[in-house]
Amino acid sequence: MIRLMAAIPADLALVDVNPASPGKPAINITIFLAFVVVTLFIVIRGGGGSKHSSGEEFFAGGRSFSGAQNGLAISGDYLSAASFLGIVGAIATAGYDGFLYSVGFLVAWIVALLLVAELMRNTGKFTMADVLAFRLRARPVRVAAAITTLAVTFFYLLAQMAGAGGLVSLLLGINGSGSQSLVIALVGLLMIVYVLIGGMKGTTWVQMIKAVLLIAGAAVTTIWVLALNGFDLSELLGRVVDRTSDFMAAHGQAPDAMVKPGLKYGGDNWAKVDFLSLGLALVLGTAGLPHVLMRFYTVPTAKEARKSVVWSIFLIGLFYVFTLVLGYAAAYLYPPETWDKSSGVPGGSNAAAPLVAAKLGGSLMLGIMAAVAFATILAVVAGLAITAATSFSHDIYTNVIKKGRVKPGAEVRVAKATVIVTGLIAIAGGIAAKDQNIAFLVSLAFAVAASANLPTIVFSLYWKRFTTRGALWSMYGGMTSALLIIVFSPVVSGDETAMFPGADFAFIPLSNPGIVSIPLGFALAILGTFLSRTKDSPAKEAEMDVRALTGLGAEKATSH
Amino acid sequence: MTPSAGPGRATGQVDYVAIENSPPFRRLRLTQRAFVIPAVSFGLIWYIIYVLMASWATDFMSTKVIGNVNWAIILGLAQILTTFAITLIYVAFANRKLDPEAAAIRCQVELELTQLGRPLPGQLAGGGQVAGGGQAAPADQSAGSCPIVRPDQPETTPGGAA
Repeated sequence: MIRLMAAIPADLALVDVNPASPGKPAINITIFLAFVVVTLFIVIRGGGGSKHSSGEEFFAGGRSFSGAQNGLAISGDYLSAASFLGIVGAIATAGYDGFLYSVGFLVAWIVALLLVAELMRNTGKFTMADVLAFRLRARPVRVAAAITTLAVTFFYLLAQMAGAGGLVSLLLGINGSGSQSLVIALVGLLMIVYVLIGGMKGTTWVQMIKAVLLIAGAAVTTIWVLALNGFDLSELLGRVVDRTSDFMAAHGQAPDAMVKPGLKYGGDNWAKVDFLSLGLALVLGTAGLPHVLMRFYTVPTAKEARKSVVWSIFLIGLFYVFTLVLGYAAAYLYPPETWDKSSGVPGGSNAAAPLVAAKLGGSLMLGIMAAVAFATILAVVAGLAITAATSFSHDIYTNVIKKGRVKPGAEVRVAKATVIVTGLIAIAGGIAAKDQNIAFLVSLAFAVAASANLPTIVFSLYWKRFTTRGALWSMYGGMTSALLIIVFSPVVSGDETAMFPGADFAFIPLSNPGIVSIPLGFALAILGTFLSRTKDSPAKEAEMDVRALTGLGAEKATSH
Repeated sequence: MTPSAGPGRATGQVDYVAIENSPPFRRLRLTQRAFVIPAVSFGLIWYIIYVLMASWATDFMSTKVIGNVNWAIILGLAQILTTFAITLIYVAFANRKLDPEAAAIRCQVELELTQLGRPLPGQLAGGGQVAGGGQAAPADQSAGSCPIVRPDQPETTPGGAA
């Protein structure tokens, strides 16, 4: 590696920061408000005012976004608080093991791009269930797909809301439990407003703005950190080891444990299996995340869907390289004790990314990073809310309750009501979950997506014989097994960091269910198919096959 | 050889079974499958090997290669690079091979439908559920001919997909 310039000694050119109360709340609040005002303005303008009578407009933004725009929006949707705050915090505390999240989250896009994106765009309308209902028996698969969609969306939403509480309390200097809850409620209300006013178009614009802010903010910080280290990754790693070696030795780890795999998931073979389990959920979950799948419908053609995924892969990949630098930066800029619960840093390791910014550029830089993080949470919750609302109104209300016969505008009205209900549930859930680990909630969402959604999506697109029974067994079986394993795992009970530390009914030593529930989801799909008495319509199967690959008869963009 | 737009069953408009069995479509499907299945398998297996090495080959992964940079860091960044590479190779492949073949089949079907004065399938889309009011299609293919894509002849279609 070439040294471009000499590394600056570690303590020069840095700002003194008290991690327990960094920054100036006034600056942070001002930047927050500026972001909210600007995005609201754009949502109102870009969202096309209040005309949302057509589903195409409200649910799919008129299918009028270009590949590049949608790619930016997908990145904005995907790079959630877990990706940004969670991964940087994980690298700051667990070293290399935290980076494995980044790798899994990125490699996952190969599945989404090559197997799913284009074929879904060609065969669906608004939701994942559209693709399944194309040739399988529509009502039962729509109900099942709506249930798994709502489950995945709910866990993901909880994670974001919980993250918002911790983050904002850090930045606004609010520490009381009551005021944290107030902040969560405010995030939920803003989300409702964005989605009601802007629909998918407004949500997409917020996600695009957020993606630009987040990637630019991370890029500036990363380059700044690298500049302090002579643009030499080796120098950065060396400083991390210097800073953490005593701490690691005191905790029975190798002095250079931070830069080696195994700090968090080393341990016994169960810990290693657990790690593999997490890795599988990360890599197979993305292509089954309903809010990601739904974004493929906002572009006019399958070719644009492909372009958008390519954009997002490069943006997301680049961002994850930044997370590696930022996480290690946090590990060398702050003493390792900073991330302990006892240190009193609000948000714990979730605060690592904003604290790096504070150390480099003081309260202004912290305020900017904080606004970026806040934007991240708002954009992601808005995307999740519109996904939940679309799934409920399009799949359950229109196609199951009303059997496809709805008055014009009714579908959108039901969706808007669902947005309000979703928002309220998210506020309540977020307040209840505000002390839970964000990364865990997100990995749970990924595990359910990989176990319940991915097998059915892949088989209905690629396997001629696949039947309704296979789909139902896979969706219900995959979801139930994932949830049951979690309930009886150390995540819920029998561990000091568990949801119920007092109780102990954990008999499954895995904190991530993927290694069992994902193969089970695929196996149930195959078994259910072979045990089907009736075959689904071969004519519909042929139609889906042809339309998926050729784009014949795919939903068109609405003209303006 | 040409996909037939004769009387269909399921939707009463297009005989998708005939298209599905036509040589151009079968070739398109084979081309797509023969690329994506090996490519996805490679990506996933390479990722799983990496995860297994991070768990069970920690001594190797901890070996320093350049300064403090060890194999774990290099292989992690290599995962990102291989993801980028698979993406670029797929896009080049899809643009060169898949798009022209798909456009030719689409064009052929739409041309036959237009000649028969029937609505195009886009007019009755929607998960096979919604019975939209099918109107006669605007005849964009008024030229009356479609590009024919033969195997091993990677030509781009004039006036193909936008």
